[in-house]
Amino acid sequence: MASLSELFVGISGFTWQHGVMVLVGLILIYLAIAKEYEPTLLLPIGFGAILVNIPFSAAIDQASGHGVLSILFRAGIITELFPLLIFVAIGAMIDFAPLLQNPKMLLFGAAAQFGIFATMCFAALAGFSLKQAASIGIIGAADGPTSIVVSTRFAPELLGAISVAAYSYMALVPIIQRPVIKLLTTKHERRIRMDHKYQPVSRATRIAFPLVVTLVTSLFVPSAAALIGMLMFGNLLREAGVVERLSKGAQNELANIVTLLLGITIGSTMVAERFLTSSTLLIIGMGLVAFIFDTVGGVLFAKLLNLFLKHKINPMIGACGISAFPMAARVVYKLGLEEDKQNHLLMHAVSANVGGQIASVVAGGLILALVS
Amino acid sequence: MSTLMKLWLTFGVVLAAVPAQAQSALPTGQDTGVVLRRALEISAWSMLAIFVFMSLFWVSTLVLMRLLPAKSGEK
Repeated sequence: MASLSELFVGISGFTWQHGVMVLVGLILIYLAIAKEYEPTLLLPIGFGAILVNIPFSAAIDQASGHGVLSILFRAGIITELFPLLIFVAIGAMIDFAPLLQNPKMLLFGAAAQFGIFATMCFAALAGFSLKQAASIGIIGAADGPTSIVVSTRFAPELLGAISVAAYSYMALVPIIQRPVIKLLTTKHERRIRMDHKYQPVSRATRIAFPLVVTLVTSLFVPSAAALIGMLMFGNLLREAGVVERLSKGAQNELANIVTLLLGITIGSTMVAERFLTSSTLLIIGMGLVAFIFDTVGGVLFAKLLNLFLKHKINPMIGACGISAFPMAARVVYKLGLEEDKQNHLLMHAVSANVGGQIASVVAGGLILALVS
Repeated sequence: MSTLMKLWLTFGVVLAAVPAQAQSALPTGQDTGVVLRRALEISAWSMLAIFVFMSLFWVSTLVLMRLLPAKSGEK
């Protein structure tokens, strides 16, 4: 009879909190499959959330033994291995050529990190500790791996909520940015045309760029060396031209395997006792604030520059300074065309968007260095 | 309103029904003023540093493009 009751420990231990979390997992899976919102991440995250919210689940550590997801968490998240490997893959996928042709767009990458710091201050005001506030603010980097690295280091108890918020809002960039951009710009400003002069980029420049960025950033902010180094290492593989196999491996096999493991492991942090708190709700709300303020920072910076420039910049380009690639560039490109069918802003938008990818990693490194 | 937004709002309503014991997960007992001041300091220095870094990369790129021009046939 005792052994029979053991068969039902899962059911007898199932609480309404577990039910809510299983539902959250199912919703994430639904969004991934039906709505195609960041499916490569939301699907494994959703499944991981279901697995760990089964009472006495063998997927996570129990008194009876180790669970596979806990092992993956210790091996890949606590050590920061998974997000850093993802950076190698991202670096191998990025083509910096549009940015190298138009390097002033790097400044928009800087301006659009404003949301990180605005949100960090809001989180501090809401009563979170400095490290928790920094981890919440980094959602505004619009860069999943950076958010994971910072929150693993500073607030592992908030990792699940922060990761889910970061990836959800990245999928929502088109919905979040459009109204903010329209609110901050006039029709006339949205119609500003920008010339694009095509300038060929030498192979030597493409190779030198990741090396220069790595050296400059790491020398000044050594704590950013791993983040920026892995991103630029991936890019060097791509641009070197002699390790095609490694470059393709990073872009495909490495990216796929690590994304799969990262997603399901992040999902495993969504345990009911830790996730079903009002902190989670605040984090989800502040994540939205972060993305809005990123857009505000970028657009207002472009408007500020226009006060001094003879050839005006379309201020919508400022919104592309966030790291969410290529969503932000696509939003601005489409908005430009809606206002004027001949206004092709794509190259400028992509340049700023790629600049945002570098800036978000630098921002993550600075936070790691300055928050103690 | 997007589906995801609606879902998060629904999740918010569910959380509002969470018992007071779970609400206590909200951090308390800290000197918010001190934390906020430190957050503002870090934010100001970080934004400044990011602009400096991006400007450095901008200048470096211009130098690289000048020193290492594309040969004919390079795109």
